[in-house]
Amino acid sequence: MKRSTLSLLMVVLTASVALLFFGCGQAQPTATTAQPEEVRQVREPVAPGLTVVDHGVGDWEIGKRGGRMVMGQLGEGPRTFNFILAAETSTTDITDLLGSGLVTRNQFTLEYQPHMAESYEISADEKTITVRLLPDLKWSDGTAITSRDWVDGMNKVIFNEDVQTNMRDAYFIGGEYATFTYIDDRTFSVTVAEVYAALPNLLGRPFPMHILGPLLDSQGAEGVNTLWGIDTDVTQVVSSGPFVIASYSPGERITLRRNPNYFMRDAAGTQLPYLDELVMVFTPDQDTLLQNFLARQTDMLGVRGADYASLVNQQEALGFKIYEVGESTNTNFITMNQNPETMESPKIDWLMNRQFRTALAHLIDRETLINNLEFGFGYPQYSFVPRFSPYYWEGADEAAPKYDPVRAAEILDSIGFVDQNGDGFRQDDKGNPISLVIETNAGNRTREGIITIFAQEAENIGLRITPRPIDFNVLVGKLLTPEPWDLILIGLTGSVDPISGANVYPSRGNLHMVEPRQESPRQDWQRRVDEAWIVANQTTNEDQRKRGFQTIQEIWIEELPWAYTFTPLVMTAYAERFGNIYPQPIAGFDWKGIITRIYEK
Amino acid sequence: MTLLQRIQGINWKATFALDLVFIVLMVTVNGWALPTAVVLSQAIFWLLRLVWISPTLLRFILKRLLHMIPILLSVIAIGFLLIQLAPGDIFTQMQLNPNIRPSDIENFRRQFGLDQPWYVQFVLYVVRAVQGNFGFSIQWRVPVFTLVSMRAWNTIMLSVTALAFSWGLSIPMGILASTKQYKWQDQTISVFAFIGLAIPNFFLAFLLQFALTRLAPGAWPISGMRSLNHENLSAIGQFFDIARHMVLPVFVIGTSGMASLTRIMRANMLDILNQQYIVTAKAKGLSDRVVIYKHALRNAINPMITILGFQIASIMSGAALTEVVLSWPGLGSLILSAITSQDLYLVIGSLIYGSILLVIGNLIADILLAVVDPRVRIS
Repeated sequence: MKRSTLSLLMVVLTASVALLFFGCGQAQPTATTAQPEEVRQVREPVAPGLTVVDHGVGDWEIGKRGGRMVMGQLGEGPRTFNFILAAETSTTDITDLLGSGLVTRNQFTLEYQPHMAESYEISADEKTITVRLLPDLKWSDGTAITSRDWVDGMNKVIFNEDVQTNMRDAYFIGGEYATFTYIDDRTFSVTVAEVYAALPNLLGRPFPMHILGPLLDSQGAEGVNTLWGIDTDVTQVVSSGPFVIASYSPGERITLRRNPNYFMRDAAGTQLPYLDELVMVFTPDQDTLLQNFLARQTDMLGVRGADYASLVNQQEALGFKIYEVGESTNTNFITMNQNPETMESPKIDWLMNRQFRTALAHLIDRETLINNLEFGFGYPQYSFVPRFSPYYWEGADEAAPKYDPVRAAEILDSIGFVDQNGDGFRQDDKGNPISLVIETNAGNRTREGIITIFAQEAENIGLRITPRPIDFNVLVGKLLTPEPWDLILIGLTGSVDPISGANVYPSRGNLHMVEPRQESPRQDWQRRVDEAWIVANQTTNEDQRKRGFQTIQEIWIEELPWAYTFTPLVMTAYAERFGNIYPQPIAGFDWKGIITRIYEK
Repeated sequence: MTLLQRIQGINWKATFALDLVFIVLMVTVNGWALPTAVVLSQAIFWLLRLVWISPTLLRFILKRLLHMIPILLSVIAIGFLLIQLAPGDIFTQMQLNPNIRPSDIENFRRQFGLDQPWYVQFVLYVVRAVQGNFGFSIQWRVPVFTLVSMRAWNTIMLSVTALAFSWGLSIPMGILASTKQYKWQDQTISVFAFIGLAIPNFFLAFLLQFALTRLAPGAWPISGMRSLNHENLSAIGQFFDIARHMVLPVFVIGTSGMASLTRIMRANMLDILNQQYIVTAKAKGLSDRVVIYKHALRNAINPMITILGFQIASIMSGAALTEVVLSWPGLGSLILSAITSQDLYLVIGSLIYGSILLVIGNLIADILLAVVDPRVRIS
């Protein structure tokens, strides 16, 4: 007995070790992979074997009801089922499916369109938006959805500062909260203190006041703060979105079922969503997500550049397709401190010098970064506005300083930053040795890679720049409180409408990292950004907005408070048996945007 | 009388029967809930049994439990201090989100008491803990006790099975290796023990997952605890479903412990087998079987029991990385994420659970040692 157990052990171990080596050899991609044929190609995919998502079709396929889709979700699952309290993506991935907004962007064109609203209208002074709801809207428990669910939800829940929500900021415009006014059960209006470009953004999802109202009366804000925790009976969680929760097991998975009262129908009149069930399996480890997908235990996978090689040749055998979705909204940029409070001389003199900043920007070798860190799956990035946004300035690529170490050296020579003592490193025009530290958060392999490669490039032209990964919280502390730093590589997530950067680009913003929270702009370019920000955002005129954002992008690229590096390509693999796969690379329009329309063929 | 003789002296059938009668009476006559009656009767009957076995033992147990109080207090204090020393807190990450107001983040800190110095937080925590409130998880917004209990059973189930697997295999393998010293059996076992020591758990888990997806995709579960249709299975089907999912993690966790256990068992046995009384026993003409199992093993097992005590302590946390890799819905990944996100009260809560288990594990080991070895006296 003992011996046979032992030999079994031996066989399994040897086999697994052997497979590791065998498998690695097999996973190498070949350059001659066949192109997928049947999908209408809008353009060539960036790599063989990818399918480009064709947003040009412009409309959904008519699907059929039924079926189940299983997804792996990275992490521990939702922290709460209460969307008011949701604070991170594992939670919002679920709560976003339990609610629908009045207005949404079209999945194909990304333009605003009414959703739960029948219509909306902006007043002549551009400060009030009046909404009329669709008739017969219902919560999943059968209660009618009325305009009270927005008006009271905002006034009693979100604007109540004891409620632990981070939804509040979006409604704080021109120094005060937006005013929500009830007109009748199907009509209400929102008024803001100053003209605000993203008025439709204020038309969010309804709040279940038939539950929240009595709760607030009896327990106050504390009742809302503890409502629908993960220990709750999930059938009590009401939904205005496409799904309701069927069952939840902690740390394991959540099963969502179609909301029987959901208002949306397809062009043929079939009630949406098509899927009977959506299961999310919580997977704490990224590599396990990949293995589960390869074992066909899940139907969808966010593909990293590193996974491409092991997936691309399996598409036919395992019945899935890898979609090239588009440029990610994730950014990584090198910010250059210009805050006299946190910089001593002479460092401040170097970084305040626009020529010096331009020289540094010429040292970002985006192609090498993309090849080394993303396995070639990425795009160079030069602007804070994503390329698919209507506010993207087409001239950005042309105007921005590209990788050019010779040019960088010339600029440094021209401002007198040369090696005077022959030690191989440059000194500034007053003879001070130039030495800077570039920091980023430790543990993020992409960012650690960027600062290492950047520092190497700098050394090649005689600039002493030391890469130093530090703890994330220390890094945040440096950016937000007066603590000394030179260069920091960090990222912020972009969105279609850059108005979400109101705390970032104007000089008063607390995330205006080069010198945050200025009472009035200290530098001329900051004053010009502040002015253009008002042009772009205190209007609803689209042409004026585009002009304003173009000005800001021009100034940003010329002045380089920070220089962008690259953004990864979003790739997603879906099992072939599903239809309506038209994801966008933006949060909310990725798989979430298509989930009501996905159907099993 | 030794402890073992006293334990054997108890009429177990009779006391369990009485125990059962007590439970039935309490449930039917007094109308108590079944779990309450069970817990209460177990408490009473085990206390009585312990008094019969040895009042010294009872005193010993009570003393050990009292010792736990200063241990827990210092663990909590060190926990608060360390978390305070680490830069930032659970809300620091939010500060880089342009769409959250700084004033809201300050509000969060105040509402969860994170704006206080660590010693104030410590005192407030202890005061509440004494009242049975072990705090709210900041991330999960449910009581820490609820959160941990939701997952603890899965981890205990996995760890205990893995413990049984590794002990059940490594004790016989250690004995075999020692009796066949330097023969091929011993060499083979040694080779595997060293391979087992050299491969980290999580890596072995990856290797096995990789092998299974390549060889037979979908044929055997490579992660998770239950299949999607679990709810639709019969009770027996559900049992086998979980058992199938458990094979991989139990193998991974079990084999890692086996390596060192086998080596220690082998060394202990070799020590004993070279003693003169073993030679005497053999010279008397006793069979190998009797010599090994009756005389050598009983003496060689003592150090193993001490190790068992430590292993009980690691039941809750020992499998953390394997749980993460194999998506086992246990405490491991929960606590890891609590630590990385600095979810203060959840971290402190898990520290408390870990310390209690460590004390209890050592207690059990000490008692077992006294039971097995009449030379060991409890005082």
